[in-house]
Amino acid sequence: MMNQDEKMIEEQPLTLGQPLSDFLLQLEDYTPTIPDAVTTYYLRSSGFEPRDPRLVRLISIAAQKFISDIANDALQHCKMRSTNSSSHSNSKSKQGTKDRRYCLTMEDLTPALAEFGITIKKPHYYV
Amino acid sequence: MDQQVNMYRKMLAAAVSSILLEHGFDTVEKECLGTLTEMIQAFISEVGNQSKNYCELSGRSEPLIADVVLGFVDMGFNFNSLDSYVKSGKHSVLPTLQTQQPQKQLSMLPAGTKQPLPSHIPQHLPQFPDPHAYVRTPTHKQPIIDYESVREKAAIQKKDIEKALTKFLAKTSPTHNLFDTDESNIFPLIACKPAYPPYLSALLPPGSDFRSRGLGL
Repeated sequence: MMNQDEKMIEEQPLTLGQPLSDFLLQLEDYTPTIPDAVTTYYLRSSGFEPRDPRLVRLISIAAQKFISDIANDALQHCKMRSTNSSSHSNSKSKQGTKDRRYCLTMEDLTPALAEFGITIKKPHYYV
Repeated sequence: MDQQVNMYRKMLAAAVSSILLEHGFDTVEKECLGTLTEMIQAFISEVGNQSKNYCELSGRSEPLIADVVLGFVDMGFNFNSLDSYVKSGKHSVLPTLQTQQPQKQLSMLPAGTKQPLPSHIPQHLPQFPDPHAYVRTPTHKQPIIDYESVREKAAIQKKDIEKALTKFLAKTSPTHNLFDTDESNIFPLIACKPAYPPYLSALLPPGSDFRSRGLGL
């Protein structure tokens, strides 16, 4: 995945910001899932004073996509794990797999994050 | 302030939850939600920080898109697919934050008209309370203490006491009737208790008198 990114950046080094600037114009009346106020608050707390609400939205969408990619990966792990476990168990549970409810657990999240190069170690007392 | 931070954090957690729901997760462990919330918060803060640094490096105080782009690059975030991500599907929108309404102060029962502040008190100081809280009004007349009226009052009081005592005795002890009819007992008289024998008191010498006379003899 990183190789692809690098290639993409190498291919178009001059127009790096160009598609994003065009994209920025579309954000005029788009509302991301994270409310603007929340993103603005966290940006301000790190010293960033956004005057342009579109920039805030861009960062919101980026953060959203960041989590979304992780969630997607975790979901794949979850599905893989559940199919593996169901194939190990008897075939009677096939009915159950159809309307399976997926639960995001640390078991799935840890390998998904590891793919992004993030290692999580939680202290035992974390609640 | 602390409560506010919690509120922003809650909104982030709600956003993370809705992203997870979009992907098809139904439930999430509390630990995972905490991790993802922390990550999204760190992501936003870090992008803000990096962008600010690039912005200040180029001698500006207001960030531009270029600074944010450089921030993304520094984070190793691939922003080329953002466009397709936005167009890919409908993303749920959380309800907008609403500013908390300050609690309206209940108006106490007002009484009277409030006095304006005098000129020597600065106008920004709080208003006077209701007048009844500090204005003093005499509630009773001053007693009359000249000699005549005091004597008169003392006499009236004495008379009243005697009358009351007589009435009390007439009600509680045996009475004589002034008229010889049984039906009305309008003027009760305190019964006189005859001592027995009636002449005895006349025969007995008065104590103190006797002693002084005896000594004199």
